[in-house]
Amino acid sequence: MNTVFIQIINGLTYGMIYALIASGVTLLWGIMDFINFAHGELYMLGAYAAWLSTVHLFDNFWLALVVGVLSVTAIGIGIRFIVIPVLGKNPLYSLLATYGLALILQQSVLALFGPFNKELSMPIEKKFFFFGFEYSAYRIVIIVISLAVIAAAWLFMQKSKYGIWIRAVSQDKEMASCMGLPVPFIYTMIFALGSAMAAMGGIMAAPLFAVYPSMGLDIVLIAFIVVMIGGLGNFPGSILAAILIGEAIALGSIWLAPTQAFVLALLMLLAVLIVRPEGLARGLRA
Amino acid sequence: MLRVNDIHTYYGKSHILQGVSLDVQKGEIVALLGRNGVGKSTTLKSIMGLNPPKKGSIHFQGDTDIDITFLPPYKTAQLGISYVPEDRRIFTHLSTLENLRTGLDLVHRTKESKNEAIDRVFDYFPQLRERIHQAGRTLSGGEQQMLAIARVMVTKPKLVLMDEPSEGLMPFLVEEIKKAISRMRDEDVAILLVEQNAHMALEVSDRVYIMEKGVIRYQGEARELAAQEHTLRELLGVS
Repeated sequence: MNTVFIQIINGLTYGMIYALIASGVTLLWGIMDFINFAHGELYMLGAYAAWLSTVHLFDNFWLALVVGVLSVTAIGIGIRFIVIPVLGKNPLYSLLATYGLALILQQSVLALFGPFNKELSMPIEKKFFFFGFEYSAYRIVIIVISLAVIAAAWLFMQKSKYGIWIRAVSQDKEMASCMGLPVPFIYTMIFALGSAMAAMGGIMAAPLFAVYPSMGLDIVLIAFIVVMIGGLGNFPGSILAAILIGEAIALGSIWLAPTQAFVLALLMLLAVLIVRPEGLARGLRA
Repeated sequence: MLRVNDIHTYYGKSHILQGVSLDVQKGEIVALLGRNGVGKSTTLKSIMGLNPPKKGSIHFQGDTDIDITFLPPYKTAQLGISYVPEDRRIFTHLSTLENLRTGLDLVHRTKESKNEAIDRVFDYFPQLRERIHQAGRTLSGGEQQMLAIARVMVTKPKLVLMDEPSEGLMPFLVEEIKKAISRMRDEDVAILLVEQNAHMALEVSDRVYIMEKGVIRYQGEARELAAQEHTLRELLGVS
């Protein structure tokens, strides 16, 4: 019973990190018809930025979080301008182009920092006790920070002028343009928002999991599963799906090996695609 | 204010506009009439930049004379040209207020001027005030048409391109739209109005162009045309 309880909290931690990455994927895909296979690399670069700055520049994880998010956001905006030739074209072009970009980024990191895992020490050493179990306070902090960031992004989308613009563009790009909304700038904003959230996920995950060059590829597959379960372009849907997948993997790994637990996520995707191909949370769509 | 000069526009390979020229003066209401499929909507889309012409030019005099032939729609819109499309195309996932805010937040800087602009369009269309927080998809067809007009009115446009605002509306709603068009004239907004409903268009407009198969076949004062029954019958099929 205790293990189940601990794994439920672990699943929430995973789910929050998946949600941070999936938010960007679903925004880009749902609004711009742009499949960003390099989105996981932003997560990876975030983790490396955190490692690089805590080990080599200053020994403060929270400062590294800020520096990492800012620098990866700049890289994300750079990607937006690199991919201009495939923007607005067949989504398959963007898939191929960004897959190439992902390989370039991965190989560059491999060449610069080598294939070995990098370790980051826990930024918070404190432990909680749940039912006699030790539990890392840092994981709770991840859940709280992620929830705050996701809630802020949600409020931004619902209330702010830019959020209204993004939703208008997502529904009818042409008409939004006719209303005078600066569509290229809105695209840049979506890239920036998605990159910042992915970087945040990567940085916060870095002390928990190892930092390695192909970590982005591993996570982006989960992010795509989350987005498809949550419904394309459905922001709240993908948050819900991220938590479901996080829990499925965490609870599954009580009885199964971690790779087998991942199969659970694929089975969930299969079930959703058969029963509700438009995604789990159709009604939630804003 | 708007000068369209001999434009040729294509949809794929079909040559839709075959040399259309027209102009709209400041504060003037100009009707663009014709049967189905002669290129009226395409003319508006070409001006807006949704379907730019292959040949010819489009100029707009706001503060200065600007060649808008190949501007993307959002730049054309930012110069003061607004578009009310045929199928309304309001943002159905957004509420009435959010629909109004799309263009509003772009043009108005202070809270006071935003509220004032919104109050003014609710003055035009009081029904919309009751639907202010309702999603666009829950509005009736008439309310959606009002919202499509209100949404551009709050942006203080200099010229509005209006595509069949009376289509599919009950007669009393057509009256509402006519009233709104007249009030826009009072505010010195120029309108290029595409209509199937020739009677309605002739009542509100100053000048008229009639299109046939991608070219302009007739131009003149609205008052004159209303008296020429044979022209109306020949070019529009109305009596």
